[in-house]
Amino acid sequence: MSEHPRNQIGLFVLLCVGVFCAGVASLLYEVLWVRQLGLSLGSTAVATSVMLSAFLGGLAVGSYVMGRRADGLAHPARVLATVEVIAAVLGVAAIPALSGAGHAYVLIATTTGATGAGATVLRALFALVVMFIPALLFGMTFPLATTVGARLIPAQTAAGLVSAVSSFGSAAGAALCGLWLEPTLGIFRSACVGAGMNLLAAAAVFLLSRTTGRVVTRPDT
Amino acid sequence: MKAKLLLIAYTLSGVAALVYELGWMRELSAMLGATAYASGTMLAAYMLGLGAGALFGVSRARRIKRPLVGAAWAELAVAALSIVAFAGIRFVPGAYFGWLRAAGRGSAAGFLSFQFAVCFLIMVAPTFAMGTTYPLIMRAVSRERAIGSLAGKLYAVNTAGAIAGSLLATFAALPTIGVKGSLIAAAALSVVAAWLLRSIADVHATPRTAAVAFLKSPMIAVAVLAIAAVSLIPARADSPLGLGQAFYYTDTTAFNAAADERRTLYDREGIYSRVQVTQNPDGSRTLSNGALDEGTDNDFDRITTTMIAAVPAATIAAPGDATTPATATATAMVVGLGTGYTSQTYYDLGFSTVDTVEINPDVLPASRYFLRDSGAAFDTDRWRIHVDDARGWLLTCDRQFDCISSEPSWPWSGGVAALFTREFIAAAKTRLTPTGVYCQWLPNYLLTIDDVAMMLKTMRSVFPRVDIWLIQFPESAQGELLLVGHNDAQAPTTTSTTVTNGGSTSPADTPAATADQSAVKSVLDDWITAGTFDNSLITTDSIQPYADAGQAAALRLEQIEDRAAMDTTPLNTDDHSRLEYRVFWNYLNQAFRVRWGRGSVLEQ
Repeated sequence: MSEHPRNQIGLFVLLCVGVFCAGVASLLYEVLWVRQLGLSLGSTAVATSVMLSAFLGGLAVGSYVMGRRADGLAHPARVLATVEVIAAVLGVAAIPALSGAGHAYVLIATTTGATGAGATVLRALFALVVMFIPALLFGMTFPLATTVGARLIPAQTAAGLVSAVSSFGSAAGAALCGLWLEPTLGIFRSACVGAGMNLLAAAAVFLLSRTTGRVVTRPDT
Repeated sequence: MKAKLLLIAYTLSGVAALVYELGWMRELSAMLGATAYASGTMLAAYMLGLGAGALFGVSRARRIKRPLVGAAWAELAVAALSIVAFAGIRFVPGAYFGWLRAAGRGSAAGFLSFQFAVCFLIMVAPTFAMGTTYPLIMRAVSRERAIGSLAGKLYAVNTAGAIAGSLLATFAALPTIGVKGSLIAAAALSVVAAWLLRSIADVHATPRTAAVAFLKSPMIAVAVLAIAAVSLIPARADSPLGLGQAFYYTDTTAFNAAADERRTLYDREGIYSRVQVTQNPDGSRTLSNGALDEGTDNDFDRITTTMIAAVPAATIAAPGDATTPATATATAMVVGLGTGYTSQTYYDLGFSTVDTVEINPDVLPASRYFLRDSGAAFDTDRWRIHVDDARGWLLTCDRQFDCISSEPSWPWSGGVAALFTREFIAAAKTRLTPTGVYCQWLPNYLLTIDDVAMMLKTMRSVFPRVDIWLIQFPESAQGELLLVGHNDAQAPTTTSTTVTNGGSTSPADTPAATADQSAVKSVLDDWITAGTFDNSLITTDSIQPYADAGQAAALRLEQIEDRAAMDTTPLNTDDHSRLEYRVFWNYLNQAFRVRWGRGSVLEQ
């Protein structure tokens, strides 16, 4: 790290602020969505597991897809900021969307008489439709942030630090949501706090990209 | 080939991580209570350990020459330390009450800090080791120009492993081999991951030479020790000690003395929790779910479980108009099976059908230890059990009921809290006949005046008429409450507890479709006097309209009514399930302050 100019380390700290905020938001959404899903689509073990898998599946696919492209991006920080802004919108919108999915599920299930495995498949489909895109975006954050970090400090160090900071953000999100936000604000307003964290993350990364366009662009551009 | 092996190793690491997480959470939530607070602290402790481990991994990765060997060691450490964590969970409950008393001191911040400290102490070592793996792997294999791609791939396969681990633990491992077996299986996966990482650490190694090197290294000794150590830990405590017992016992000595005299009749680790039936020294039986006592067969408890069915049944049986069905042609639905007494009461009162919805399949065989003739009535056409989520079942069933009784578990439990909200009550209303009634149980002894006012207001936001009944126990001040919502809008207002929604109608001027509380009380008294309920403790004093239950109750009711009428009193909704959190704190206040010598806020 010492080979890198001090201002780039400062910029990496700014990136870490963004990654931390994104980590807070992602855990907030995970907890809140799973809860809303249980209310909307049922809280049996099968339903919960299928829906959680849909969420995690979105994360995995998002990470894989963006990972393949992140290294070639000219301005990964700008892409990351954009992803965070969209995640803020979809993160909040997912709450009423999940509630609507619950109504749609009831309508279809009562019309078709779906029970047992059929009902589970139906629930999984609704969960996928609502959660997959936002989860995909959250999954993109990690490789993008790693790529941005690797253009500021040594790549291996950046990767590890991004992982650590993201975990700390997630820990803060879990504690914040379970101990304070949900009990005092409820689900929707807690999701709005999550969106605020996404926007903070976007602002930090956008500021980083504006300030240092030359260091967070691809090395050969 | 080595890249594929690396991805496989990291996938296995993800599988194992989720099995560990779910196993620890299953054990810890029995001890801490299955609350949103407990979930938050457990998840936070887990992620904090991962983050701290990643930071350590970053610093180590820059110093060690063979980071993949370091990653292999980290995976072995995960296996070994997970066993230590499991042993810790086994050890902690015994000291739980003492620590709670010393550290919690009955304050919110003290209790939550203590809870977090317990979770963190148990989880920090293995999650720290988990966290170190990723930076070490990245150090070993990443290149500056392809860092994003590698990070994306590793994150993706690890998350895919987490999905597999979650499904495996929930549906296969925990219900079949229990928590201990699941942790051993996860430890074995960690050892395999360690071996794979070790095998690709040497540039020129083949799988065979890597296996030989692995077997010769101290790693294998660590692995064998880790797996062997777990066999020394008891698979499960005979009587799990959890937060639920804080209400009944002042210290561990008292609990252990009681636990030693219990006999386990049924014990099943299922997909939701551990369900147990134990026989107490006095011959009574207790049903517990995740270390929370859910019900007993003693006559005190059976007053409540009987009245949850008897009151709505009497409501539709009492003289009303000609459209009111008699119980012989009436239908009932019960939310939650538990000991089964509520459903059995409907059955005994001659209802044409009783549909009981229970989410946990392991409660079904457990309830047979409580029911007459071992629950033989389960197998008849009149009583049907549905293993499902009650809300989903209600919304998608195509039938209507004359009575719906909701007697879920403690409202602080995450999944259960959803059965006390306005949306759930509204869902139940859609399945009532035009003259049907909905009965909501409330643990009055755990509710403040504001809490009851909130629930009353919530019920009134759905039903045009709500009656409040008090279940009284011998030598107990507060008892339990039943809120009975009437589907018919044209109901009489014969008691102070019968208030129309918004007060805009004048129901006394319109014909009543269902009976007023005094008529219902007459029916109940007739049934009690005739010995219908087979419980000597049930007397005509056991159940009263709240307004008629004495001066103290009348005074409390007046305050409840005043606060329910206030605009500032919130509703209990899906979006903000306030009751869940309020009851939890009330419970702690009771447990800490009453049991341990302080005044209860509920008495204020």
